[in-house]
Amino acid sequence: MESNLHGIMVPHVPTLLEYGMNNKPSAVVSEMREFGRRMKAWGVTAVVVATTHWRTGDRFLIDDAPLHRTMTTYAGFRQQVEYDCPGQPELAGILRQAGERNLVFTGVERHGADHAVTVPLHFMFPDRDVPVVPLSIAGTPLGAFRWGRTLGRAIRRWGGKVLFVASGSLSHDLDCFFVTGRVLPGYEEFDRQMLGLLAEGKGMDAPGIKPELIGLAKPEGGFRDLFMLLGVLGSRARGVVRAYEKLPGVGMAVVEFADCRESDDEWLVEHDGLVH
Amino acid sequence: MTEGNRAADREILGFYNRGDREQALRLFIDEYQPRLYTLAYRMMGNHDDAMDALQEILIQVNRSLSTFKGDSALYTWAYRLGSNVCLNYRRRKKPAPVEWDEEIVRSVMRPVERPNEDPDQMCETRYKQFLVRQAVLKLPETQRVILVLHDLEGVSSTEIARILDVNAGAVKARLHRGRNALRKIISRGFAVKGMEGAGMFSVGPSGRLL
Repeated sequence: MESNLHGIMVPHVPTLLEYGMNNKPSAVVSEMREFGRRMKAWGVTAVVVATTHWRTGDRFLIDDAPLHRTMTTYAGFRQQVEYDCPGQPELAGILRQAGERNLVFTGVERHGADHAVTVPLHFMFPDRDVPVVPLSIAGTPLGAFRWGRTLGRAIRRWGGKVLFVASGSLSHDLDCFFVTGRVLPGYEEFDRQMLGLLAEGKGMDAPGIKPELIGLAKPEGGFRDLFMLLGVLGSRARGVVRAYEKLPGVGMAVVEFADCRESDDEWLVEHDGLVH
Repeated sequence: MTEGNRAADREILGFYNRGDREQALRLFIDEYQPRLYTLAYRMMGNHDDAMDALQEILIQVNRSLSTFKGDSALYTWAYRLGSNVCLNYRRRKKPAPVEWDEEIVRSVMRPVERPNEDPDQMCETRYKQFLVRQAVLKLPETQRVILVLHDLEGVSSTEIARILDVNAGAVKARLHRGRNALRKIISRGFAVKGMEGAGMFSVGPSGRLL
């Protein structure tokens, strides 16, 4: 049976808006646009976004608003975007309940559409007609993986076609980007290793990259967004790298993932322990 | 068990006994989730099954914390429960090839911010651990479970006997047989899935695992 889940990792650097609006060539922008067209053709009914610009300590939060107003959370960029978009309160409620039943201790809060939501969706779904559920990132990578696994099950049972988005950059050293501009080889090396792992279906190995390289690159979500995505789609989900571009200290990649979870229904129906 | 663990247990049970189950569970998860996940990963051999087993362990802890009598550390109690969940899960799941990679599970546990130890020493140690665990995977399941619990997880024979519902003598006998079988596997040489090009691994003339 065809899966109702698809996943993607995208950047949201506001510089992309400038590329997009001035028609500067950008592989990242082109691929996000193309991917959005394919998702529309697939019949996507909702987008669930793990936003690295919504960090909430140790509690995973869900925005269940029927309409998400644009939050302009970036200063100093010439181009800005308005992207008010519909929410999906029903799906948000299902995710919250799944979290509670599985002891993930989630909560609901009105956050809005920050630029980790607005920038990529502006390119992927310019008509603003696909309902969105923003999720915060929180806790440890292991906790994020557990939450992702719960999310994946709940979304599969919900049945609508859902795109899960992990929105964040690979390397993400804002000191380099905004202040020093001193580009070190380690940024690209980190990005290269990350993309290699994702392409091999070994994203769970990412925290095993040399600590000094991770310390330099400062990956935007501290792997939490990635681990949520791998929880949703399966720990061995292989990524297809659609595009990669770099800015000083920042690695921007578009990596597409298909659902790789094996059916576990047999286990679930026999056993009343796991709650969904 | 450290004083820190004891203090954490007191705090968890304190919240639970005062009726704040959510806070008790949150603290329990903060304190024990990584170790229970390590147990589950060692028993299941892959992340997805390990996470499902962990989820089930947490749900059972939530259901049965009220039955905890305090005659052991909370973790020992949860460990016993977790071991049984993993064993049941393995029995119910269709057998699947086990892909064991200790480095992966360790990397998941390792906080990103933690300073590294000496990288050369770390690599050598991890490599040896990885090879030993690959050899353990060659053992029959009954011996493997006991070796994992006793030699990798440090659970006592008495505790394993309670977990598996067998007598302590049987545990010691299986442990003895398992260790002998492991020695034979290592001395004969064994292949590692995904590393076939490296040939057979065995004990070299210096007694080191190569």
